[in-house]
Amino acid sequence: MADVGWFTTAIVTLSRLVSFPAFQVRPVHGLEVLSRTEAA
Amino acid sequence: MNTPPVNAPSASHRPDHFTRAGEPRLAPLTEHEPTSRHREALVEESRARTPYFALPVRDPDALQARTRADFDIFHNTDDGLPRAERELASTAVSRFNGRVFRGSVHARLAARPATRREDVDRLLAEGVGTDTGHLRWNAVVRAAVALSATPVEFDAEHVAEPRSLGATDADIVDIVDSAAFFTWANRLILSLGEPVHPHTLRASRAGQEGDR
Repeated sequence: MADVGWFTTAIVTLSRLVSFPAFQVRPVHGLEVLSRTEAA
Repeated sequence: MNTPPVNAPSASHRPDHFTRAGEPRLAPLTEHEPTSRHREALVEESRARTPYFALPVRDPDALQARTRADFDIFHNTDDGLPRAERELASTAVSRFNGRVFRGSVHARLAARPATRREDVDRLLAEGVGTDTGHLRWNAVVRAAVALSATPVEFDAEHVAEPRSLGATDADIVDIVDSAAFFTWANRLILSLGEPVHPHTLRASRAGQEGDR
């Protein structure tokens, strides 16, 4: 990316943007499973 | 579906064992570049000294939001899991994702009290399938790794197992949040930096807090 003119800060922002959904989907998934799993 | 982790280690230059080492691939801000906005985003001033914050602070708004989530998930221990078990979830996730440096930092925190150190070392050395010697720890590791997998494998059994060992819903929420946060952290840092062999690391960097 740097070779084609991206600034370092923009690469950092893009990395943040594309890595964030890796977090986002997991609490949603985990809480959904927890909410539908009855206590024994 | 048997999809390998998106960020699975593959480069031949990676170390073959888990150590406390790593260095950014892109240039961090130098000490003269950060503005007051950058410093505010770090929340804790000491973080400005680590290369792994000096790089992401290039985007201070994103870093500040993330740092607040970090502190809420790991430092707010009024309810839910003890800190050590949150760090254990992070250690397992980092080991699973091949995140060398972070795995070691969390291992150190999870190994308090120090009687658990050997168990944590074994987790790092042998991988997330190892028996930690503690049923509850094994349940935390299994649940955290299942949540970190791509696609996500966390299911009812990962709620039932810690519950059967006394975990409350608040405890399980903490496993979920800790594992989710470090899946994110691992992915971000694996894209911005690369693990390196310890002997290539400047001594001044050793022992710093890391990439959280």
